[in-house]
Amino acid sequence: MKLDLINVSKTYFSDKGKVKALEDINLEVREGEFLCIVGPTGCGKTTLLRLIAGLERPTSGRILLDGKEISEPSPERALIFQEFSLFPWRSVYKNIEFGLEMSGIKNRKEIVDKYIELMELKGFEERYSHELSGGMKQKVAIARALCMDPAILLMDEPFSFLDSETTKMLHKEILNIWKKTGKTIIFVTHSLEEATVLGRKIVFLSQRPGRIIKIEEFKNPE
Amino acid sequence: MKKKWWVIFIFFLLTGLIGRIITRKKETSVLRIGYQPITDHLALMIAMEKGWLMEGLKKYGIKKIELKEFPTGPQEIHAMMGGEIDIVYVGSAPVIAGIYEGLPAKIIAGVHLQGYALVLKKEIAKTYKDVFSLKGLKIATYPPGSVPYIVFVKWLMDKGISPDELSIKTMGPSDGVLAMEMGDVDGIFLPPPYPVIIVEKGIGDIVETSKTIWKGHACCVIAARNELIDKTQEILVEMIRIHIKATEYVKNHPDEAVETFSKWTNIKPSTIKLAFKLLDMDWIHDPEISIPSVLEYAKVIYQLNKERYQKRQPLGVEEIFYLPLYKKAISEQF
Amino acid sequence: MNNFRTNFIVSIFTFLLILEFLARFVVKNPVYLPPPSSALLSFVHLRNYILKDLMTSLMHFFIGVGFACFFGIFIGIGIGWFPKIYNAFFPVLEILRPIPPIAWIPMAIIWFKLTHFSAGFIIFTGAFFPVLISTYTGLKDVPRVLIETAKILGAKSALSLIRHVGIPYALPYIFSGIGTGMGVGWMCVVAAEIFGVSDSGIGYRLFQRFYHFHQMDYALVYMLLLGFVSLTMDAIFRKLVIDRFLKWKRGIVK
Repeated sequence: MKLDLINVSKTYFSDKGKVKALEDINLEVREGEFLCIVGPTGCGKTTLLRLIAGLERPTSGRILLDGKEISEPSPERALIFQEFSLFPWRSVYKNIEFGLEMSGIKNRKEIVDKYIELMELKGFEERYSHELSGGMKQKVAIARALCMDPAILLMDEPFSFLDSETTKMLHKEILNIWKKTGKTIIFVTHSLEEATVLGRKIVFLSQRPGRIIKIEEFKNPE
Repeated sequence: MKKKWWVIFIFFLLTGLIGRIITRKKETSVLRIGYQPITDHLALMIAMEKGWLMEGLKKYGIKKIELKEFPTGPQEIHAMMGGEIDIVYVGSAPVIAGIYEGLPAKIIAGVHLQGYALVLKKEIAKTYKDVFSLKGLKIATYPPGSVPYIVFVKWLMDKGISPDELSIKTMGPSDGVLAMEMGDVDGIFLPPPYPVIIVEKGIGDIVETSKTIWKGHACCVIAARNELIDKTQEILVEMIRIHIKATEYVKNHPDEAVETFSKWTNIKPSTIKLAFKLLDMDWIHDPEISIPSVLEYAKVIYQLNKERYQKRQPLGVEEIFYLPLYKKAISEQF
Repeated sequence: MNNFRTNFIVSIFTFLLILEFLARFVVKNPVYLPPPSSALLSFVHLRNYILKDLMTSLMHFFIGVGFACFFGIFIGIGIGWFPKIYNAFFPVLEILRPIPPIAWIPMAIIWFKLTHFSAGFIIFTGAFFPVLISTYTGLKDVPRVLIETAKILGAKSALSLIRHVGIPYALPYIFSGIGTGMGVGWMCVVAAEIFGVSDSGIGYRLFQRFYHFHQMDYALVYMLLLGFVSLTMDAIFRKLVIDRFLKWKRGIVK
């Protein structure tokens, strides 16, 4: 797995004129990396994730996954949103099963059970979204993404609506999963603290239009 | 605080207004007359056209005559029950149906006999033999409690046919003509001149008329509120007198009658003339002529609501008619 | 629940008592206001008609509401999900929407003749818009994040997004629209039966019999029947829907 961003720019056009969100992003992400993207609010870091997820197309430049241009959303680039994104009409179990159902996979129970176990969601299978805490909701969202066996896991400030206690716990958990599964993770945050806790490689974005200021790589003491 | 008083003020104003509408006392100087757009009621139209009614009643303090048109008799009587009308030109059967339910009114003069016709679609009319050919057909007529309905249903029942063996659609005259044009019904049984409109349009043919169904059956009458009968007899007597004059005028001047009716209803004069020719209409003024068939109607209505009226008898002459006024009118007339 | 039921019975009973008092001692004319107690006797007189009339009216009702649900949901999904369909349909719907069902009667007679479908059509015109508008609102309100999540999880076509995200999300809206539509549709039953589409039915009996024979106590019975049936249908519908389909969102459909 190899993700390349080459001269990626994104400009939004609206009635009021155009807004340049990202400019000349060049980035290479390798297999198994835990990459954090840090930047001030409104610097285009969410846009960057959405481009990688395929929810939007860059205005110029190219984004390649294993040499292939990204053109549409796909389970292989799973995105965890900042907002809670569980389907409220589906139970926890059914939420996790959603992607497998869409792909027509047969022995879904086995896979779902595996990730319920991994995310420590046992006993909550039949709960509905409104019966869960915020932390639980994001855990379900992560389980739902993981059971599609994505090549990259994209996370867009997933813990920003949670209290610090829960956030700390989830940080541990996410690092755990990273170690266990060896997934490539791109984690966007506005908090440098969070980035240093999680990331082995941190990309700093500038104010709008977002440009890469520097990339720092360091071994995290663990 | 101020707002609250406004709300209370408006509340009382509105309740007062509604109360006033409901308890509204009618002006005694206004006479409200109900009628229908059928040739049966030509005497009223002539009396109004000529100004006889206004002129004749002026000396009794009547300043204004309000005419109210209704599509059918039962609707006319329903308005009378609500206190909206003083005198009606209406079929005798609706009056009876009203009196059964407490309508404070009585028949004071006759208006019309016969004149109805059963018209069937052309292709059905071709194979029509007798009343039994009607089984399974869809026939439009006036609503239950009207003379056409009762004459039609009694005719069926007398021949041993249950009304359920055909589909009787009840509606006003113009709806009936429209339903026939649209092919919604197979035939109509309506008062004049409506059967002829269908014949003229080439949609259907007359297969039966009042004469063949029930010779001499009563149709329309004049009925007045008991209040008027009790308190202002002289107005009613004068009105009957004018009615007699107008009725004779209609009979003696059919061309003018055609013109007047056309003016009131926008129906073509040629259609009305044809109706005069094809339908056996008979304008009358003597209420006594109507009595036998009116008593039959009273029995049929009693039968139709048997369970409801089980504790009482069918209405008799005394309950339906008030004859002295007519006698007074003719004794003074000649 | 018990409290609710007691309250319900007491309220209705008091209302009937006041009516009875007004009818017997104030109005004193059964044509203007028939005493409710006379309605009891009328029930006995009318026993042979009530069931038949009710069945006919329910048939008209279900024809109308059935078509209203089908087209309302179908078109509602279309205009709620696809802006192009919205742009094409919306102006037309906005012109048709304020037309009261009764105004459609002349058209109904021409189009559907004097058949049950004519009555069904009048009821349809009443029930259609509540269903349509709620369905439309429900689909329009689907949060973008849920649609994008579904896309990322592999729901590719518009059809599969509508099926797996749009409709389930909009379901409470749709049901609430059907509930409203049923209420409006039932109100149209009487109007739909005035013009002689059938030989029975609550509206038929009210207008073709009781009105023309001035039997106001019978009319009162049928008016009460109209209210009672509507209440019952509403209760059944809500119980079925909330218990079966909306486990995840109790309390939204009121």
